[in-house]
Amino acid sequence: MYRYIATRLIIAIPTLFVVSLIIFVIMRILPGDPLVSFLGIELDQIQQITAEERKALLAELGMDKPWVEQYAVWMGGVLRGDMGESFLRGDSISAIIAKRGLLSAEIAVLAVLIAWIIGLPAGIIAAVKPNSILDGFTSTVTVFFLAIPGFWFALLIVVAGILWFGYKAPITNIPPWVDPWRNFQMVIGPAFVVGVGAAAFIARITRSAMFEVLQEDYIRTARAKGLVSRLVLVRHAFPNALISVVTVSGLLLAFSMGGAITVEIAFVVPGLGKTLSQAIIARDFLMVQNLTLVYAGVFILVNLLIDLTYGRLDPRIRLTD
Amino acid sequence: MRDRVTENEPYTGDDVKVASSSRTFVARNFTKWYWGLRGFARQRPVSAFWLAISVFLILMAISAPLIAPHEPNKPDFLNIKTEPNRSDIFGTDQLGRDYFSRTIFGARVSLLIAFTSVALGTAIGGVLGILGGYLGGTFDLISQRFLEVLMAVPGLLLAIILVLSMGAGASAVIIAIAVTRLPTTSRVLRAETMSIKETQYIDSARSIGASPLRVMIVHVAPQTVASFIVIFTASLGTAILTEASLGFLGLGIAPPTATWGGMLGEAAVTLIPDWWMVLFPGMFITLTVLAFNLFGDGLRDVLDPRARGRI
Repeated sequence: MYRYIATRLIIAIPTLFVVSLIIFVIMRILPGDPLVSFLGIELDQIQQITAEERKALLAELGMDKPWVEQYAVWMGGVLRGDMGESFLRGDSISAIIAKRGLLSAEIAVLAVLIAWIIGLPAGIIAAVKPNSILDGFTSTVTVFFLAIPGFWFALLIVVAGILWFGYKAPITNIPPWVDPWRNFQMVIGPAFVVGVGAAAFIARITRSAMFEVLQEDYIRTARAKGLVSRLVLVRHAFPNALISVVTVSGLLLAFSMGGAITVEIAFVVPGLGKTLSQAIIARDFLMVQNLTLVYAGVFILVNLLIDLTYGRLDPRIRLTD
Repeated sequence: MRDRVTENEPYTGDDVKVASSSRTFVARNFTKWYWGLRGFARQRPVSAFWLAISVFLILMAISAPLIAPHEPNKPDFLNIKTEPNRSDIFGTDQLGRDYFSRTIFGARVSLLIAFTSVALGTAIGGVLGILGGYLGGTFDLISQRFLEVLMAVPGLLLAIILVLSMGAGASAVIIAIAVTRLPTTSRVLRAETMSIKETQYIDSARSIGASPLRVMIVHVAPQTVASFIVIFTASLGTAILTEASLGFLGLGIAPPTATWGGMLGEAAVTLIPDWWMVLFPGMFITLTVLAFNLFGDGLRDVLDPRARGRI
């Protein structure tokens, strides 16, 4: 088991390394001028800067050095927990990501909870009584929510909230230890939207997995020996169906993490998604670079956790090799 | 009757005639398509309905200049942000442009980008998959590692980074979405190629001296067409959602061109978004994705019965 975790971690590191390398190179070949965000002025004024001033500014940002050196400086900083300074405001990127990342993490955890609480029972009910009215209802809702863009759903909730419930978009980032209730109000909207979308995904997979498992011989055996229907479902069918659900959780994760970026913006919640979009607009290289690395890192790590759970749930899978 | 025309047709040497007369060719294929569609509609009526909706949306996009009552990009500063009324049935936006016309024209961008990016992405992904699955060895190893790196970043984020690196514009968006389609396509076709490779007819083709390239093109590729079509239709919905998300983030086609995602982005920028500016573009995105997804589901059930009920 430990050996397996170690091997997987060793594989994850080169992947992260390649990802960081790709982001770094892409950010260097960008057509935008990094000085735009640093100086915060119009393009034509940038062209008025003399070549020397330009050189001095680039030197200040550390962008005049060769790529290899720039990359080494960046990576060295990241490994020490210092991601450099945002071009936009000169703030420490690590501090911004830590502060805003908390909000995004809260949204992610809540969304996953909502997704499992709604998706699993819905999928099981649909599979137990196939072609019933309930099954038809769940599959219609599921198909519908898989087609709805999360950010549109979010915007609709915001508009309805403003029109009918006197909702106001949050402006400031309130940490949970200052005012838990207001913090919850901020997070619940995005978490609900992302969670419901993910729930549709889970319900669909749970239904097909459960349906397949219920056709198995051992389910018939369990029923034949007179086991109560509820126990057949809970003890025999569900644990086996769960394996398929966990397997595709990686896909679900990509879906939710990508979706959360736009949903946060629609709700005007100052999380990482909002930070990313601001950084994109301002061509804040270092910020985008670091944020992508953080997203990829979290993504790889959670996928690793999923694989480990998968091995736990299914003893047939040998974790030693 | 239907089965005789659509499949299992005995080889009669008709190909020679077809080559000499293009009319017979068209007529034969027309009947083939007709019976195929009819069979599909009988087996999967719901999916056939959504196919009709997809066709309707495509026709709407093509004939946008004929349908749209107003010029989509013409501002009208006297009628800014008017609610839906008789002359502007979807209302007007912050520049007084007719929202209905913009929504109709938005279909053009969405569908064009979805089709081209999915065609590009699945084609390259498919070639990578077949090559990797058939050749194995170093090529397979390198291409698989490359795709793993692509999969290590969530799809939308990958698209964002790629558009940023290429600068906004239609081709940048198309390439970015195409790249996000690579891993799934190549994985599925690779697995399929690996199982086809073990069959006897591949062995016999090789034993009579067919080159690897010929085996791949003539014997392997046609066997993967069903999976390819399934992946293609399934990818369309995702591509439209990704394109809309990019537009929403301001990374899509540059304004003033109307795009559904871009329109939603413009609506969201205002502190208090107007309901009609939010409702209509999103409705069309949902309808389009729904149509492609449900048609794709039915097509998959018909073409690949093993995958029925799976995602």
